[in-house]
Amino acid sequence: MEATEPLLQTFEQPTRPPPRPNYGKIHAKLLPVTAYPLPPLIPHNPLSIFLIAVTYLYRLLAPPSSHPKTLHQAFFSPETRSVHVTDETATRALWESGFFGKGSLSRSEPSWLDREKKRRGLVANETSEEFTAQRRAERKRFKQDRARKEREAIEEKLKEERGVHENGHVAEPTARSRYEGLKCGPVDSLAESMESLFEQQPLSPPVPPPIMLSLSDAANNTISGIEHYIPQSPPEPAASDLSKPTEQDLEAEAAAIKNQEHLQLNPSEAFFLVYALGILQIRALGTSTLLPSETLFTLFRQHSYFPPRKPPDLEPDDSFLLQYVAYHHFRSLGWVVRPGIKFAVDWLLYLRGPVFSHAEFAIIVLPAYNSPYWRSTEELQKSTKKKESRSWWWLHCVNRVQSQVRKSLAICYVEVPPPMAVPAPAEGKLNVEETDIGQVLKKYKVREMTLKRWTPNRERD
Amino acid sequence: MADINEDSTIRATPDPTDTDLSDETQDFRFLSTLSQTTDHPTLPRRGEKDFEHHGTLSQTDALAASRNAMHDALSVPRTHNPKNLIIGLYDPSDDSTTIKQPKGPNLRTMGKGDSQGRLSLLPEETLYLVERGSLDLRWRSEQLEGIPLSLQAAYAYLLGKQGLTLERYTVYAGLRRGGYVVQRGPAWYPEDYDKDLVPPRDSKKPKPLGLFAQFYKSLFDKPLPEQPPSGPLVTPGFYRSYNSIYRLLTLIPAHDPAVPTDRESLRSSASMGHPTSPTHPRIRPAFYVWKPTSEFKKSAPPPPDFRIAVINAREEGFPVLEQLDDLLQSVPYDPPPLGSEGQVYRRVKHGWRNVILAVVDQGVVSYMRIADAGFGKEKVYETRGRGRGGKRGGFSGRGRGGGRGRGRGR
Repeated sequence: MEATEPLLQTFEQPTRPPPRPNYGKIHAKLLPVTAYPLPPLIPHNPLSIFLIAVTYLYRLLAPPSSHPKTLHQAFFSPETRSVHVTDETATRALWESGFFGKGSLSRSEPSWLDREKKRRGLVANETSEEFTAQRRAERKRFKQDRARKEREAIEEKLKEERGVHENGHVAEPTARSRYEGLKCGPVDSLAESMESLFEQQPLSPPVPPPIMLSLSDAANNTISGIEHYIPQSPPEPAASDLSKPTEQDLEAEAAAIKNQEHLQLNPSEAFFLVYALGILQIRALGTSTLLPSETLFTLFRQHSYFPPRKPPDLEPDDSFLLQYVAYHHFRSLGWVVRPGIKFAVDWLLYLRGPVFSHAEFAIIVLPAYNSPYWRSTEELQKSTKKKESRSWWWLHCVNRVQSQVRKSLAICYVEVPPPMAVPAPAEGKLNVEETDIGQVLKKYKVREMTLKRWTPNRERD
Repeated sequence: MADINEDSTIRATPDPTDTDLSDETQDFRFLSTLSQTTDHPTLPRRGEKDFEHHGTLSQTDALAASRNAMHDALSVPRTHNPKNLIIGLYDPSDDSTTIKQPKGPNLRTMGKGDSQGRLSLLPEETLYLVERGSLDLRWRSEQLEGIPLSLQAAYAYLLGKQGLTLERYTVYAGLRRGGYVVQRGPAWYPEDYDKDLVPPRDSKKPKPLGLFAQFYKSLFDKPLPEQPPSGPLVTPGFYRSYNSIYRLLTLIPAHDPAVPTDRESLRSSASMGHPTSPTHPRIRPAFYVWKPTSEFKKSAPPPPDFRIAVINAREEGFPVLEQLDDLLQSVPYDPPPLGSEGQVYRRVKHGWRNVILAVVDQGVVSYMRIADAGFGKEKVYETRGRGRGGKRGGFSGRGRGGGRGRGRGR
């Protein structure tokens, strides 16, 4: 009960939430690499020309680099088929400029540390998860209120009608008794009991909070091995009872929390950062040997099967290649691309990023076997047909989900070249020497179709 | 009618953000009524129903009034005015129906007239009019001249004639009932499939830069550096703008919807139009459809508002790219409207060519508009600098679907 009190208070005195951070400034860089634009030219302002000249000359003499001095480091984790970034600065850089990856303990932005500090009462910032929880709680309350009002209106009506019947002519006993019976029926009593339940404990999380606290605290202590004692009871009530801790104490405690979270990149994102942008270096988890892009290319292809395949058995239409081709295509056009599994699709396209606006397009990646090779023999025809066929029921399922979340469905067809065009490494080797990855990727071709339900009744004008 | 049902189902389904169970712990106490201890376990109540019986007389009265109104409407005797009676003669030798004295608003957009003022109807038109009760169909042959045909007989004789499948008829009748003007499309004439290819018009060239802008650009735009074969595509260096970085990232060839794909190579590929074993049947629009408000003239029909291809969902799956490409090349080039430059959402959703697929599953029709999106034509990184073009463009057409409190996930 104690833990719910702070939450409760915020709802009883609705205060304006603290201003959200300036996302335009935080996410000003579109990609983790840096570009250095010149100041804008204003023709009627001679000073601007002067400024441009100075900047131009300065950068001519000492050109700044697009990449940082030391590249970001990451590890490939074969068990989770993802790439882990544990370094704090790299995590921030990859998330803030281009929205790459996802926090392993968060919904998307790696915010576990902030949430943890907030939970222990050390900082007052709101995280996006809390905004969502607050919004949901408000909506729940609104719905309960609405339901109660509707029920009250019905009660009122019933009372009124009963009065008319008693004053006026003979009441209909059968109907009356039926209503009465309904009123105390199981449905209403259940609703009432539910309501009383909510009234007793408004907005309390269903699982008793002390258990959650002790669990997570235990996890902290065992994993990080930090000696200092974290009080079992929530700190806020204790703090108000006893002497108030100084700011320094709070800061020290906040600094002592070890970040348990890392950024996880899916293979397409990681490969884009390594191969296309050259901003990330990926190492093997055990040996810490550096994996060059050719090795990664084969490694990710292998791991797109389960169990991972041997290099000679790789196909030109393995899922990593298809997904990466689509990912690279949309990234190179300037979209912010994020995984779309939550919405039953492969990718989501954001114009600027998830903090600015919702994703407008949901992308399904489908292979297309246009090359004559794929139908050259009877066997190939059969296997190709199996790989490319999708039912209308499948499509309608996907489309239904998209219209519920108000996104537009687009199908991205990736034309698969014949296997001759995509060299598979020989047995025992991880990479083909002198593979030009760019040449391989250029053999694929993409084409997108947008799909939308068409309703005759709404198109009539 | 269908709309009301759809909307209510949408509203009844819970908000997607509400049911995101991953971030919440479920409270299962609401299942207590299902436990063994109670004598009459009942299902827990979920959500509100629109017409749940709550026992007030006013609700009962409203329901009764509504029911009576429906019964009254249905019990009105339906009569046919003999003045408006149209008699059609069905000729089994060529499956055509001839009307000697055509009249009435229905026939203004149907059939084909000849010099003697007679009108000959196609099988689907005949069947639709018979089903509607506007046409008295009679048999026309040497024997049995003038014998009336029942609705069942009309179905039996007309379905399957001239390529009229039940699926096509379902779509035709549905659109006609909705008030649209419907004419046959190329799907009925497979021998002419390749005659209707429409090459795209020349796309507009970009406006040349002004003299000063050109000079300014040439002053600061460096030629792009060489890329090593195994990456990175963006070599460490000094870049003046993100546009030049994005230009370096361009790698995957994308289909250009303004350029036609090579038809010859397409036809020679093993899958399409193969005489013995067609892997994928070719799709063509079965109907050209005009809005009821359009000025349709049988003698000179304007370009149709919609092109609808009919697909039997039980026999064919979702079309593969080859089929869609073949289909989209047969419909006119319809680029995003002028003046939509910079509105990425609007342009991509409109597409460069579009067609509507009517997917029929045993009498139930689902329409789906497919457009050649041309994402590759929209360089988002260029428009993004100039402010968020078309950000709100997406929802202008959705007045009704988005009821209260419906969020959408990130």
